[in-house]
Amino acid sequence: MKRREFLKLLAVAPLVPLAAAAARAGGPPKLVRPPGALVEEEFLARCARCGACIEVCVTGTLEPVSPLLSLAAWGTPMVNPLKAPCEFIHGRCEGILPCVQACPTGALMMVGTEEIKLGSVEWMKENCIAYRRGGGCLVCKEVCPVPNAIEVRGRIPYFNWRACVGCGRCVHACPSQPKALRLTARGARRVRP
Amino acid sequence: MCARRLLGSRLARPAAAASALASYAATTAAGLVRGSTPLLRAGLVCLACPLGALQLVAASLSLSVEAGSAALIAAALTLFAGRLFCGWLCPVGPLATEVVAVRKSHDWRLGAVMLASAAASSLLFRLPAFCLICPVGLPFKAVILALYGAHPAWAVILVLAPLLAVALISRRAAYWCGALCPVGVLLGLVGSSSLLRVRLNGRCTGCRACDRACPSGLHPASMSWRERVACTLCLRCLAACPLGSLSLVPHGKARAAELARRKLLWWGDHRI
Repeated sequence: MKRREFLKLLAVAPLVPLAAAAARAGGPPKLVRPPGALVEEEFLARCARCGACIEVCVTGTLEPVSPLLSLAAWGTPMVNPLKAPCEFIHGRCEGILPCVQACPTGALMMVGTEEIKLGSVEWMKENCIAYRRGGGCLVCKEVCPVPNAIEVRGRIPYFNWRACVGCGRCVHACPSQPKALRLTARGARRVRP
Repeated sequence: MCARRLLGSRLARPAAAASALASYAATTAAGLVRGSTPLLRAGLVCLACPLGALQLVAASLSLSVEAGSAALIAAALTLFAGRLFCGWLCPVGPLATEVVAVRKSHDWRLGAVMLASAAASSLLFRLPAFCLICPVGLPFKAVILALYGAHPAWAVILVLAPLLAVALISRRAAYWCGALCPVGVLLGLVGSSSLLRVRLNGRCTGCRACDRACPSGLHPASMSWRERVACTLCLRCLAACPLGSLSLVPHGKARAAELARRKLLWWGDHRI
């Protein structure tokens, strides 16, 4: 290859840092991660995006992040309670955490059930059947594994985001269309390496 | 002779690469293989993309036992088979570069620049940077995305876009696999003196049929280690040699016979 041609081709080299910079722009995304996930910065560095955790997920809640949602995090696992809840508490995965066991890079770490908090639910009362009808429904309270995360006053559920562990059962079970509940990363407890 | 004709077929490499990707998809769907690029695992055997492992180390400044051993296994395989993965199993190289007329090049300086920039970007931005756009790895990721609920359009994009990009770059700029691919350059550097490599194991008349067949523009009958880095073991030269003098295996029968003949010519008179 001639020198001029080589120099012309050299213009391709900044493509990788540019892609990485574009992916990193806007700070770390706020996603609901599987149990035992490291703090977001560290998670993005360690996660190989291999998808092993997603494949072994017992309930089917884990799914790969779409490139449209976040460039830096695409292919990493996120919890989608619309597909299924995460059963790390009072469920099939309690104390086992197959996703954590499958992780080959240590982006997910084994933690005790009581230390896990994936995030918390956000209540959109304008969609809530119980709120609109002045009481009733309460399917969310029925499926909630945490005693004081949902408080019922006058047959209307009120959500305590501090007590909520973010398993997503209520979001999955909510019969309202569109859903009155949304799982967010608010208050998530992440592992420090 | 039959095997040689098979090697020479334009369909051989695309068929091998396509069936490799298809069998990955099938075994993943069946739950036999777990993970995708850069880290696969089947039972107790794990395998990592060396560049992926390097970038994970650069990004997180740590290396798990599993990722480390997976990278070591890949390195050991490369020491044995060189860049056979590039020539026959990579989901884009064999598929994209057999169908277009590539601009021959084995000047892998730019590939080395890409390799260094991938490692530096990972360190700087704290994520496996090249993995986000790696044409070698994206088709594997497409399988995971397709199996676990992403829109099917993503799978199609992630398979077709790398193919198109590699075909276009190889046609317009330089042969991607021989000169530009950072994964290939890393594999080539590790496996430049691999056990399996193109060797001259017989008579050479200097007809240069192998040179014309080589997409990297190498002279397969004699290569320095720097040139072997760019050799993807596509084996077109093996099929092209009219005497069948090129082979992968060290000291084949022909080579042994040739050595014996030379010994006889040299020593014969003195012994008797």
